[in-house]
Amino acid sequence: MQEETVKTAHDIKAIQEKVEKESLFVQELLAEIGKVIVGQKYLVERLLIGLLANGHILLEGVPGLAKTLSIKTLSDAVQTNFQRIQFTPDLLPADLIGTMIYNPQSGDFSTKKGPGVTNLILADEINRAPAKVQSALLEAMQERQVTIGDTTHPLEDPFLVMATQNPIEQEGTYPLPEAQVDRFMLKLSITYPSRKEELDIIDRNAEVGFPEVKKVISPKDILKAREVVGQIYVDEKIKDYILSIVFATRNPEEYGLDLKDLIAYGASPRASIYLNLTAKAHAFLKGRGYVTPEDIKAVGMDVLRHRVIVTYEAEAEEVTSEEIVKKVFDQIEVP
Amino acid sequence: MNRRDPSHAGTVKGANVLVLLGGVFFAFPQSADPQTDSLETRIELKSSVDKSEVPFNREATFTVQASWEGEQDRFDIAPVGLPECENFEILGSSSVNETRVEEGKTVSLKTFKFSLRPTQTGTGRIGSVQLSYVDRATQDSSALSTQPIDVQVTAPVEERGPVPRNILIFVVAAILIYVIYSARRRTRRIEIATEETKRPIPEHESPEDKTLKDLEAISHRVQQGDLETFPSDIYRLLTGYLEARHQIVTAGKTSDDIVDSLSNLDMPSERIDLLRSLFAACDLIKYAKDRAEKEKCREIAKQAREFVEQNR
Repeated sequence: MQEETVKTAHDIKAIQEKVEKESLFVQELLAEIGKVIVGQKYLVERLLIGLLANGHILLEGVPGLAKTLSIKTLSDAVQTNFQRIQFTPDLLPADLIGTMIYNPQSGDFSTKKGPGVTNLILADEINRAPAKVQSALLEAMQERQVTIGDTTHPLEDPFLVMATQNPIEQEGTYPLPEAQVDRFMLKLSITYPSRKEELDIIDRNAEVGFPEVKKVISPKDILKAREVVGQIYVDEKIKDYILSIVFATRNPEEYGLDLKDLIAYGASPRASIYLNLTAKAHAFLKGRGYVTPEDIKAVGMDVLRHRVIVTYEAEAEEVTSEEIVKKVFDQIEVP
Repeated sequence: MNRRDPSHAGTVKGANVLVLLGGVFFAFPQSADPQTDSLETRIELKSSVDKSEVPFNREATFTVQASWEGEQDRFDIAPVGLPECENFEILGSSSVNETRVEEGKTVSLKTFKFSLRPTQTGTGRIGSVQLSYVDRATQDSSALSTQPIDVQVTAPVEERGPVPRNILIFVVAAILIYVIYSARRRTRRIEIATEETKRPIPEHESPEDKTLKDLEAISHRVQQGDLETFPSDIYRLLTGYLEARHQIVTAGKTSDDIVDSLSNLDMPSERIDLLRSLFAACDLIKYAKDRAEKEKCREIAKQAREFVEQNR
């Protein structure tokens, strides 16, 4: 890997210059999205991290928090294709990825690609569809390709899935198994806007129509930015910090944490990989060519909250994985 | 349960004994040969001992079983007397009734069980037991006897408890020592941590005085060309100062976290910005391999002095 080569101060300075140049669009993009979306800076930033780090996002939040609008606006600003798919119990894999259609006139089968073959997907209420549909989407997310009939179709880059789950209605749902949740790079938990933000939302919605979103960047620019993100320098001290955090979720007692009885399963190696990648993307958004502990902390909760599985004891005591991750971050010494 | 036998316990106890007896019969087929008296064809009487050799400090079980075809109430059986024993004493007895169906025929069983304890080593003898009964159908009365059985009483065997007492004492002592040792270590760790985090500042010395004194020492090392630990030293110095002066917890916090926590204090924004830039300069050296050149270090040290002196 390119990153593994020893970088000198000179190299890092060159990366810094590249980042400063390539990340110019970030502020413009955020401003453009901000024209439509009030607040939700956290959500929009994480969407960008997902795009830059080539990962997918699972989003938990009550209805009406501008989840669809956020991703739709991002898609408009990035000049990509966008599809919103409402997951329902009667949805079939073919409804998602496509199917072969028989043409009686020519006697041939032709491929009809489904809405899942696009750039940005909002998989709304993913836990309302049965396991086979969830698997079809998760497979596309992992393999970045879909197979219709005998033909495999690679998915276009950038490809980002933002799946949502409603945390308040669990009846008649098909909760995603831990192994499948682990495939999402980030799991976000969004809450209500502040009073001031909500006032702003009222005013904007009272106006006729939403402001038009300008195309800020092209998918090509995203791919170029990804290359730069990949080059961002991560010091050994930071890598050690990542490992300490992940290992503390597995063996908390070795890090002076009294959490052993609360953690059934610690974070997987995917957590280490994604902490590294997302921290780089976060550093890029901040215009830095190197990762600091701030970047790790900024993305840490989103990377780890769905990867730390709590015990029944923790559930009985109403201790959430968020609280455990917070304790880990508070305890592990910053390098 | 034979109601005519006053030694019989309750039904539940009788049932338990029955299970045990079954085990004895099948578990010790090589035990003393069952001897059969068939003086009367109607009732068959068997007697047996569960061991042919009994260590002096163990017990033996002597069993007498009467069986006949038909229901339990076919015969009126008198309680059996205790057997005459040599070199054994009788500890207790029990009896149980059972009815089975074997090859389509009803078979009734009456079992008497005696617990025996050796009183002397050598050859012991369990005397005969007489069983008197009346056939209710014909009103004929009759009696059966078992043959005496010889049993060897051997030297006592060594008693083995579940866990030898000395091992138990040793294990308990080891656990106790470990618990005390762990508690002492933990206490020591807490003491060390407390000492480290709350380094006592002499009463006459303010946090500013102490920080500036330490800064002098760091600057002196810079003069001598020792630049490697400079960013970490300055970072630690400033966080230590913030802890001492503003009681801010800095452990486990990043530069941004620390700067953010200052916003709750009545601190001018210029000072916060100065601290932010100081931390950023340190971060650049720590995480981006930025070279800690002498001139740059001097500048950082100067800014750090400025930050601390602003509070004087």
